[in-house]
Amino acid sequence: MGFEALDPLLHSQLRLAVMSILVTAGSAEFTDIKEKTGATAGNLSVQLDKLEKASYIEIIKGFRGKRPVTTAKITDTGKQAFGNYVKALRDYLP
Amino acid sequence: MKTEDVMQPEESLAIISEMVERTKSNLRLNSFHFLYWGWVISILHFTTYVLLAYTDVTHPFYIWLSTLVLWIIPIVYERNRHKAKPSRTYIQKANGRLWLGYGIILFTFIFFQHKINFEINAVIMLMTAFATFVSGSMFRYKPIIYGSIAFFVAGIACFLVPTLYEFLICGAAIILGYLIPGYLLKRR
Repeated sequence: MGFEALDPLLHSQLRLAVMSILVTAGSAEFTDIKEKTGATAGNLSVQLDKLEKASYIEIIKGFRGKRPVTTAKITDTGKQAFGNYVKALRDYLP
Repeated sequence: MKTEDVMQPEESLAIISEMVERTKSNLRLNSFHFLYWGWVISILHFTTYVLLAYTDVTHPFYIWLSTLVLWIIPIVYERNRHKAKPSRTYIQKANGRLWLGYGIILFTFIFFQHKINFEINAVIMLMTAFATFVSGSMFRYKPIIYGSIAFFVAGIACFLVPTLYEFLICGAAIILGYLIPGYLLKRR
């Protein structure tokens, strides 16, 4: 069974998990997302890049004291896409 | 978590539910109980040590009776918090049950401490290590998990040192296991 109507960018375990976290929290630090999803740093970086390229999230790099901190923030486009994804899921559920 | 597996819609929903639950619970994790009990219990431990080591006070342990009354403040706090946000997540409910059970067993051990050779500090530290570890794991918050290690080490140490020094060890464990995570949470 194909899932053509489902956004392929969101229809992926880690990217969906990231977007679920961000749709709830608004924004989250890289380390928090990594901890919640159990992903490796490398893998998470790659997936965040894909989401950023699609303008679903914004990546903000800053500092806390001398420590670099990377924060991901969901965009309006991302919220819309997530909402559409959840609606589309319903068509596939029994 | 893999990224490119073909997911069934039910899996998608499960991922969304789990991540939303974890995120909501984590956001609602707050520092009050860690800071409140951290300060109360560490002050009681250090005061007991000072009274035993430097004064002739014959029953310094009576200061611990204050905890019977001091329970009221966190209970009132939780009631008010629950009123403000009535829909608790599953993790919050489970965490509440964990600490309720901890409290009941704690007071049971205290009541029967004469049956366990008065090694009550060691028992409390080990129980706290367990409860803190489970709580930190449920919320996936590392400072609390690391704090549980401090309680575990303190529990073992309390079995090995003279009673007088147990109060110093427990006070230090509370600082590491409650106060530091509490202040880190507050800063979030």
